[in-house]
Amino acid sequence: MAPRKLLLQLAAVALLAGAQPAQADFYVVVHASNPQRTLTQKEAVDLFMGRSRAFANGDFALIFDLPRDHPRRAAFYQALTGMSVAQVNSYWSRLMFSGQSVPPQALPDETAVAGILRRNPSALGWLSKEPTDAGLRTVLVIKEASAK
Amino acid sequence: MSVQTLARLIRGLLAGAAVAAVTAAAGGAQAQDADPHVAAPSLRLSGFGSVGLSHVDAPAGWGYRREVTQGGSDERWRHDVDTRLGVQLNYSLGSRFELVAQAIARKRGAYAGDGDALEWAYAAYRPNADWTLRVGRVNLDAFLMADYRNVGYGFMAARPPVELYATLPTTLDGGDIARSWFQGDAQWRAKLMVGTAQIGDFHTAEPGRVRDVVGLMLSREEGGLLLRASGARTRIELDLSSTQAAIDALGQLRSLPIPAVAEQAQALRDRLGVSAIWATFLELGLRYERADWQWSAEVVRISAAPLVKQSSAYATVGHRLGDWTPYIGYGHTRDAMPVTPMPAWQAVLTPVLGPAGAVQSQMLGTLITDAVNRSRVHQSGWSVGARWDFHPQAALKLQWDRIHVHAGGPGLWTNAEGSAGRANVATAVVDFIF
Repeated sequence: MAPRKLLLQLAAVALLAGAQPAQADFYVVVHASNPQRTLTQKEAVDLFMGRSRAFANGDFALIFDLPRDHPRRAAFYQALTGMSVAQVNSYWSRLMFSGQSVPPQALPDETAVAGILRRNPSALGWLSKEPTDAGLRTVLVIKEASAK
Repeated sequence: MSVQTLARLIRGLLAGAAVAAVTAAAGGAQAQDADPHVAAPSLRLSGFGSVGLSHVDAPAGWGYRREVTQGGSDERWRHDVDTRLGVQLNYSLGSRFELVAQAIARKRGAYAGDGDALEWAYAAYRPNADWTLRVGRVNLDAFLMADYRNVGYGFMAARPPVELYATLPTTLDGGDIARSWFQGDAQWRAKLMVGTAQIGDFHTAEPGRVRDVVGLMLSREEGGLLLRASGARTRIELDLSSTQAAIDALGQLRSLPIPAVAEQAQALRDRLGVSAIWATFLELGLRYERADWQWSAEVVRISAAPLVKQSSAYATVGHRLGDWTPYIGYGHTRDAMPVTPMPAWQAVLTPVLGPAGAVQSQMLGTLITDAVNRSRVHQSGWSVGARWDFHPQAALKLQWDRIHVHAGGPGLWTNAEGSAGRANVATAVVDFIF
């Protein structure tokens, strides 16, 4: 990524962060046609942490995430698992480099995640704003963890 | 790696890739998903590495190493113990098929083959979300950290406890089939492994082949507690061509009418003449991560008498304080095969073989006994250190090891005497992933 683009994105993120309340929720989202109505937090942890690969009906889930160095990603995993970003990365390095599982595919930003979720019935992702789009369904809301 | 192994590896890979391609084509025709993101193959390049510097304070000449596939040297400042670079390619064809290759550059023993740099190369097939079948060169999942022992960023300490991890076999040329399932909140995993691997001290001799490996692994994870057990049965094959003359000479001494000499010669010959032997690996492991505490402990038993009857164990505990994780660990390993007593044959053999023959036989007995005892492993050590997660993809570790090598147990070191020894190893290592 070009430094200029990165800088712009960081600025955008900083603006967003400033504009939003300090405590935001995270929305775990699927395509509206996905038969999965809701997810428990445990099921979401299993999916995002590579423990399970499928929705309740057995279909493979295609899981999407933000890049490893995205600031919202750290907050999401802290809220989802209680783990710091370093712990999450260390955990994934164990799975990834032992061939057990590959981390969720990273997309550049939440707009891209929402776009994929809208198009793909097997996709699973998370957003930090509640989707208003009829093509998407929220299956779980996670409260942002209070800062330690 | 031998030509046959390479050929087998390539055949395995091709077979896996062919199966993947055919089934992908068949599945693609009736694909439920028109979206390009489902079917589109994706290629991911990732990697890991460590840059380490250790100060080794050990008896003169002794060479420290973290695994016996490495060479050692008696230099005080060492950068080659932990330093390594790994690169991995994952090529996914949808959710069901994946090709994975991983290569690692690191210090290796003089007898390591060029192909050893290829850590894995396999084709994976997932018929559904619970089953995984892999063919090619895979990791031998017979130990808690075996899968990621080279990925420093993935574990807490500077290196996996040498008392247990130094002597393990290399990766498996073959395949495995794994199933994972949930029972309540617990996730279970079971894996069956078959294939061949290499084992031995790559610094001093041609590695032995571990053939017909059949291993089973069962693990259960719930609420941060991982419990696992594994067992493997395998045939170890050693190349005796370089020691055949000595074995023959011991055979002649064995038939002498002097019981003390004959008995010792017989015992030495039994030990040295092992060319193929069945071995059993048994393992129990535990990892517990809860709140800011991280515990891990493991026990391994390798039974391959008269070659080795090794029992190894370690325990490590760390406590996270923000970005810092101080930790302490203890490891111990011991070969239950006794130290071979030094033969004293010269005096009793002189009347029978004459002075020259007696001296020669004595030298032979001394040399072989020395070599046998040098390969024996009996060692324990404390590790104290701290991990600093200074970056989301990198960590610095500072570690101090206090090692006690027991008499007749220096096998984890290079060029070590059979006498007892103590060593201090101070290490600073930066581990990263990309």
